[in-house]
Amino acid sequence: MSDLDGKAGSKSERTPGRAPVFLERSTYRRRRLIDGLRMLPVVGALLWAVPMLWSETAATSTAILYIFGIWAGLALIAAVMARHVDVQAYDPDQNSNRDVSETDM
Amino acid sequence: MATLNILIAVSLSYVALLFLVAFIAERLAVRGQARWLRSPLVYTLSLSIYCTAWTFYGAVGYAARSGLEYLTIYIGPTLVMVGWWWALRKMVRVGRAQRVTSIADLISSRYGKSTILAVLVTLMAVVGTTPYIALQLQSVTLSFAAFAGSTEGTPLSDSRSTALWVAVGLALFTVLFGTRNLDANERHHGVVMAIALEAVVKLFALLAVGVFVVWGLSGGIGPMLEQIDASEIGTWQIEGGRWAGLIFLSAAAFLSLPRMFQVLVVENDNEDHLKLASWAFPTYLMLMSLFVVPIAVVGLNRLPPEANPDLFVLTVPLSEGQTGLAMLSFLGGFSSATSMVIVAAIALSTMVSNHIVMPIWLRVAHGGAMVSGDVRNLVLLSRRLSIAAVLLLGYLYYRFSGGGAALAAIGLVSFAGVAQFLPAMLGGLFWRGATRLGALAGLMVGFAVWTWSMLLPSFGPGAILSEAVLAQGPAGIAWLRPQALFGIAGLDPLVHAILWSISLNTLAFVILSLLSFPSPLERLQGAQFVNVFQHSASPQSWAGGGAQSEDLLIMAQRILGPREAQALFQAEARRQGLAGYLPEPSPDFLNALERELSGSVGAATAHAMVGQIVGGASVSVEDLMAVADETAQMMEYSSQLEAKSAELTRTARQLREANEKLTALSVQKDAFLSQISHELRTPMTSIRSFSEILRDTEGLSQQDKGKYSSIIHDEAVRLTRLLDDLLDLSVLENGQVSMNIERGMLLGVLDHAVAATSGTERLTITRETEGERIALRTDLDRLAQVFINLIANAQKYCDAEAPELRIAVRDGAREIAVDFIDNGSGIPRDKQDVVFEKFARVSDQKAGGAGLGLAICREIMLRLGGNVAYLPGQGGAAFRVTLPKSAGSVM
Amino acid sequence: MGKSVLLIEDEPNIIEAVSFILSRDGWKVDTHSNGQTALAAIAEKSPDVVILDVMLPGISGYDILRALREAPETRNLPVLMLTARGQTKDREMAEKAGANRFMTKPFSNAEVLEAVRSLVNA
Repeated sequence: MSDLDGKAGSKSERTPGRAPVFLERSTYRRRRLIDGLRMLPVVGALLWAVPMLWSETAATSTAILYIFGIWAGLALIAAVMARHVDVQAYDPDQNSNRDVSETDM
Repeated sequence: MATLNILIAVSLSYVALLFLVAFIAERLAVRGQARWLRSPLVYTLSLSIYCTAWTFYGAVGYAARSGLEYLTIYIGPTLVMVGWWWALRKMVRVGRAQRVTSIADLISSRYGKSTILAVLVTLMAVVGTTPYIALQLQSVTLSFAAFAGSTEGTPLSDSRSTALWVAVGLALFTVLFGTRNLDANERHHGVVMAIALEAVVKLFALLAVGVFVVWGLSGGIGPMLEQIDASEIGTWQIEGGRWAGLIFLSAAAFLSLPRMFQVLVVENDNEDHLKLASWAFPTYLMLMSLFVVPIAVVGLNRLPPEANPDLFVLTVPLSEGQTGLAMLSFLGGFSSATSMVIVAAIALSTMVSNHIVMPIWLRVAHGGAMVSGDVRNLVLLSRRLSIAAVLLLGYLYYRFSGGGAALAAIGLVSFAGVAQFLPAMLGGLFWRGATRLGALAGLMVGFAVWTWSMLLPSFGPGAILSEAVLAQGPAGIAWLRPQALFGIAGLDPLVHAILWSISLNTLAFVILSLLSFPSPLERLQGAQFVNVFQHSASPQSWAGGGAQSEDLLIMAQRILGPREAQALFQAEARRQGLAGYLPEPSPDFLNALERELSGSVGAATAHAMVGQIVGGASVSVEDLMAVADETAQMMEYSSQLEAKSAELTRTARQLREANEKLTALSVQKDAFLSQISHELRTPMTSIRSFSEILRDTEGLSQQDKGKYSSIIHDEAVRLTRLLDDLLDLSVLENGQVSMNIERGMLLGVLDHAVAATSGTERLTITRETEGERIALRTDLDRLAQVFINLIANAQKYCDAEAPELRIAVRDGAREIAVDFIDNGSGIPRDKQDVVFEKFARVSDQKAGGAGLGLAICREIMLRLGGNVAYLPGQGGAAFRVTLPKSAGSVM
Repeated sequence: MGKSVLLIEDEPNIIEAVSFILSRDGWKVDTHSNGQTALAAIAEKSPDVVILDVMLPGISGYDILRALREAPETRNLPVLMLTARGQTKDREMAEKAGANRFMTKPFSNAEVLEAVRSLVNA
């Protein structure tokens, strides 16, 4: 396709040439964003599992700070991610859907 | 007393405010004016019904008893919300794509619209939720009593009436706003708006108390933390198993509590709302739990030891003289309780009504038939009654459980109960191999284990399960001990129950799913659920579509007929306050129209048709399946018609054939009758004629008289013989004759036959008597009759100069053949076939025979198991009589 | 008188009886018992009246009658048909074929005489 366009002229070659690269990057970002979204609860669960290892001498105040700190962090990251993810536009995307592989388990 | 009065006044005002908010929201929604009613924020706030009175008051009590363990109840849902991309997004999408109305509906539709699953889930949900409703009623009552108790001693009897009034009020509110209309998607704008307001109130109340405790009583964050560490809950004392188990439990319950499913999935208006909720709701939960420990610690420090920690939120401000703050706190608790009860009642009533009441009613009252107009009112009535019933159940549970400490434990018990839905639900969403049988088995096993290991022991030793059963197992079977199943003791009872119920549930679910085979509908639904993102663009409710009323009218006219359709549209337009024929395509109207149309074209087709015009809503595979079902029914019907018509054709052909047969028979009968007539009338003509001549003619010579008399005599004999033959044949043909079987020799029979026909001068008969010594076992007289007939025929018809008849006997392996061969010209080829027919006459001669002789011979031989046939090519006329060997066995 | 009758009939006793009756009434009676040659016999004898049996060996009386009606010289020849089949259908067929009279066996002698006389006078 670019060959054909190349014969037509250098300007028309540039425009279609760049747009896919941009799109590519944006779908890539979006996919990594989804990966992040998927990882978030796992990370949260792991971090919140840490108190299971604490000894009985651990102070409650420390525990509160730790647990609520994770809480705030999770909420913040979730908020940032949610701002950038597009629920509707994402799904019809064939490639990313295959990547997501939410089909048969 | 004054304070109590103010409290009552404030409560009533607050209730009135809730009614007003709900009412306004409903009005705005009906006019379609307020999109902001359905904002992500409202959605997020509506999720706060997770925080019931049990958490509003109970969390502080929990913290006062077990330190930070209460946080697990909030951490679980936080993880679920933060991980919304995994499960929630799919649940919401499936819920909207399949128009799911409850968790029972979700599970039942996933597994091939199984009724039994729907009923099972509904019953489990009622069992799991009723104590929880009782808990809410108790908390309102207790808080009210605490408030009253701080000012003066309140008689305890009041608490019951308080609970009753609260229950009645909640029922009223729920009925009013929960069943105002039958939205296709079970959305309740008024209710959602009201609980969003309550969410704000309870958060604000708890934060206010928290701020007062930390900054007003403890002097800021630093001192507060020090105070916490110095308190009895100052160190981390939580068992790892309980920590993890409870986080899992709360996460599971968050997804499978009927009321959470209602607000998360059913009331969801837009999947995008999840984006805000994914972080805002965890934040809400975090804020709700932020000041729990400080309040608990301050309460422990400042209040007398006998004070109920479950009411610290209320009693701490009260003890500090902060009546206003306490009142706010009371409203917060009240909000928590009421919002939970309202939504739980709506969710449960939908399930009870849709999956239990309506099916039964339809079966009993209408035999399954749908009467379009009545159903709507009926459904509403059934919903309302279900709501009342659910609340009544909760109230009764509260009354009879005594409202004591046993209730406090019910929160987690209830969580564990509904968490049993999780394997079937998530399995259904993510695993295509999940089957109905698996789901059924999982649910039942899980529920049974939960009942045994958690629900029954929760009433305390000796209440339902005796201490002996708890300690030694039922009937001493140790491995069935409720809190040490399979002999594994030492686990925390809660962790034990969760572990066993969920894992056995999952195990049963997986194994039976692997072993069983899904029905076609199950497979299709499974694919729909699991691959929901491939199949559905996000569907919208009718409300979202820009429906074209005119198109709808045109379509409706085609289906309903112009007059009815126009009347329907006009009536709706008038109801909406519009002039003319074209109403606004409100969801109500679209649903009504769909119902109206479905009377003519079937529900699924109607939905698909309206869907096409309204646009936006993609026609789901379920619709197509239903359409296909309807089509299949039609095809089945038409194929039945076809089969019927084929059958008719076949019957017609059979009739025609029968008719032809009858006609042929009738023709035969006619021919026979006319033959008989002819044969009888001919001799009679002669007889009558000559007898008249003898009578009337004078001067007849004696010779003539003698001649005519003998003619009359001969013809009379002929007539008699004919009648004899006819009777004989008739008897033979009807099979009425019984054969007189005897033993004898063929020789004898032939001798008899020849002797009977002797007196004929012309015919010479040649026999080989040696070969005739064959023993017979047959009707000898009848056989002789046949032989006589054949010999007589030869006498009559043999046209040779010197007629000769040769009788040859051949003793074959299986049969005996007796041939009668004369030396005449024989029977022409074209007559050979008909000689055995009745009245067949070969020659032109009037030999006095009626043509029945050979027919009679054949009948006799057939009766004797043999035959008589013409033998062509023997020179003259030749007949062969065959007798079966069995009849002619050698003696 | 001296009118002639041709009797076409195959039953010998009936031939004898009818011949006897008509002869005594003064008719000249010819008989013929073969259906195949009946037409030739009629042409030869040219009788005033024909008495025709329906059931003749090899040919039906109706066929003979139809042939008679088709031929111009015998179109108006009076024909009395005799049949031993007494059904209405047979009478209809006889009328259709052009019989002047139709008589069912057995008949009385007087009937035959009356019939033959009326045919000649008509």
